[in-house]
Amino acid sequence: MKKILSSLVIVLVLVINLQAQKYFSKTGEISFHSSTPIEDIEAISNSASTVFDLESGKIQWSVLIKSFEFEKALMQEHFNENYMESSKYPKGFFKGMIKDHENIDLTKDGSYTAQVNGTLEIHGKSKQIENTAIFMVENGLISATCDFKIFVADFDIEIPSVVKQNIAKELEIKIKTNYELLDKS
Amino acid sequence: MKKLLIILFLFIVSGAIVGIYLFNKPVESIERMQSDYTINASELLVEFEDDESKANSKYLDKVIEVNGKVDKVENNEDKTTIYLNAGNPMSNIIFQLETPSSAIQTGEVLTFKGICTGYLMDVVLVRGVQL
Repeated sequence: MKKILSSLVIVLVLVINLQAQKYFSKTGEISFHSSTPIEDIEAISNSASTVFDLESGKIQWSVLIKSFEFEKALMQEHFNENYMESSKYPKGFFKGMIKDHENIDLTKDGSYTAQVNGTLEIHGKSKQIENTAIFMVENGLISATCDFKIFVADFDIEIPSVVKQNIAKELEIKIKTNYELLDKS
Repeated sequence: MKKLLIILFLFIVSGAIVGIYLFNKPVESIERMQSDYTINASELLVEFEDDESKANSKYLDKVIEVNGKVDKVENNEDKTTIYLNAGNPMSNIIFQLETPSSAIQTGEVLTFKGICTGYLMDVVLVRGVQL
């Protein structure tokens, strides 16, 4: 009985999702770049999860902080243990809305610029942000990109004074992903 | 006196070399690392679904070998992502491979080794290699 009920729920959820035109990816790419005269630091994650609903304009991203990979092992260790405290705050989130989402037609090839606003949560701290994202359709393949900047201090991330010169106060974040229609199991 | 100075000099130089080496040390390849856990895909997912924080403290940053059926292979630019079936239509065990591979086929039952980064809708492991 329980099994029947739970499969019924899954079917219902799938049906609702179908109608809602949701698109998702589990291999979203998020990279950040810190640039100072002393050193450039870059890290990348290729396993962010994201979903958006074209009908309501809701969009969500989540990423595991530990999935960011650095070139140097020591940097990765400091990033996780000292700055991001990734065992305490394992995930980063963004929840927001795509403005004028009704102007986006994902059934036609083209490029659409849209404002996306919402709440970014990193290191347990939330901040409202608004940025420009680009949704693209090429041969039916849907992708999205968004580049923006954040201040490290906005998220209560403390950088010890010894390395203050090495880490930029403002980080460049680059996001890109392909999206798939959420229509299969 | 001269000898002492030379010894001191050698000390400083070797210290500096070790320091520079440690600072620039690349992230270690996982292939030579010992696995902390060996588990099948469904069991791993169930542990995260049941109690995420408990599973986090057990598995985060650990090297895990996971066996399961390949549900999907995604090749994106130079990245390969493997989705292992974990008995749930919405969730998988996801491996980001260290080096891209086009040899892995959907439907094969394989074992991968990777570092556990946590659980979103799926359990995500990075720097994966096929065993």
